[in-house]
Amino acid sequence: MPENSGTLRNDKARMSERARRVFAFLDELIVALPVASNHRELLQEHLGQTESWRRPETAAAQLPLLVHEAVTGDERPALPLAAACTLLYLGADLFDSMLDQELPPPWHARSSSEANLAATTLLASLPQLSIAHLREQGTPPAKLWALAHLFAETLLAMSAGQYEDLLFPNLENVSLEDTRAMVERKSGSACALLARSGAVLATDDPFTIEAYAAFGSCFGIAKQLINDVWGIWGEGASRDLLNGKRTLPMVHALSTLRGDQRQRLQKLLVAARESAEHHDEVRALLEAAGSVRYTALIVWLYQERARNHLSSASPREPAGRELRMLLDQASLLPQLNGAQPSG
Amino acid sequence: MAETGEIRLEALKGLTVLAIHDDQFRRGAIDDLEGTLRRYGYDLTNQEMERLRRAQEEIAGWSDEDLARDLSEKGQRVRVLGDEEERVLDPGEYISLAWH
Repeated sequence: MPENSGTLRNDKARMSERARRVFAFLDELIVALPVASNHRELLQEHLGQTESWRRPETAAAQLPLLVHEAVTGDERPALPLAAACTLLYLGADLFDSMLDQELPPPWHARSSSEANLAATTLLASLPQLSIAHLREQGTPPAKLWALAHLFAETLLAMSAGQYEDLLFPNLENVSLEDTRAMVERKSGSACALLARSGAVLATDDPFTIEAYAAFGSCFGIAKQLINDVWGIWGEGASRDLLNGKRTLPMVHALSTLRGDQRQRLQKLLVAARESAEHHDEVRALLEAAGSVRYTALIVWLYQERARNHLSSASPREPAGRELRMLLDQASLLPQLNGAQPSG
Repeated sequence: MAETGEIRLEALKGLTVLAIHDDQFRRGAIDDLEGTLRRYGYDLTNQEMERLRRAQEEIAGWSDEDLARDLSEKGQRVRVLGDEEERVLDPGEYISLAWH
């Protein structure tokens, strides 16, 4: 945990500055593309221009830089890589929003075909163009190829996880392991890329690379499980319930409840896809099953595993402290922010 | 090598597998983690057991309803920060909001 307010203030400034630099790089990259101005505007839409760097998702911009600095003491060479990771994140985020029918307001004035085209370009083309900038700073061709291959492999894993996520609502029996494995592919692999790519650029040492990749995977799984709890309790009408998602808390409740309660939950989950009227009753049954605390336990286990992998990589400071601070936030327990149980 | 007080990776992996696959372990893990571990023959060091005990107490100290309410309130606070907000926000609060 950060030791004092001065340290925290420095970390805040470093985080802001890091994100600003990545988004400035992205802006330059897109401005320089040999495309028509209206096409360029389409590609810039999801970057949100001046506001994107303040969005919570900037972990995609921070992690590759922090890992590179944790290995070498210098984050600057990883800037094009952090930009490539951010582009991949934004493309995946845009596709995810389309699949879940929750496109953010700037896209409401555009057609779904335009959103589709922008997401495809953000995922498939722009990260490679960003990585190509590493050549200018003398990165060997073998390492460039390794990074390009890593991006392709990760996209395949993310796609497999996303496909399972789409299929699960229509399957009769989805197990906790099915859900855990889906989260590992969909989100663990994405976050593993953020950390692994920074390490691949920084070193040839396979132990260090694997330690950071495992750290990223466990961190990504913990973050996704937190999002899954938010997806049920974080808003009045739950988008995950409307989409029939089978996230860990729901699958846990279905595995734990017995008899009438289980049957009631099954019926309610069907009704919850039609309207938000029954969402509170679904939540109450999940709480009765202890599904929030169960998910908190699984998140804690992955957080601890990530902590273990990170310390085995022996990160340099202050990047190591920032990575640990980032990990400290990946918890469902309010105590980390100073709150106390009421009961 | 794990830092002092950290739980060994093999133990964490084993606990994850049990928590996902074993119904009996799952049912006992929240309310009596230590007893459940003993029944499953886990051989943890005193430091590892202390760390687990603290986590178990933290989780068991909250009801599902309270955890859900806290998340819901946190969810309402997380948003894109404005210029002035970013400038004046307490660093701890900023980092908490920015990373969620």
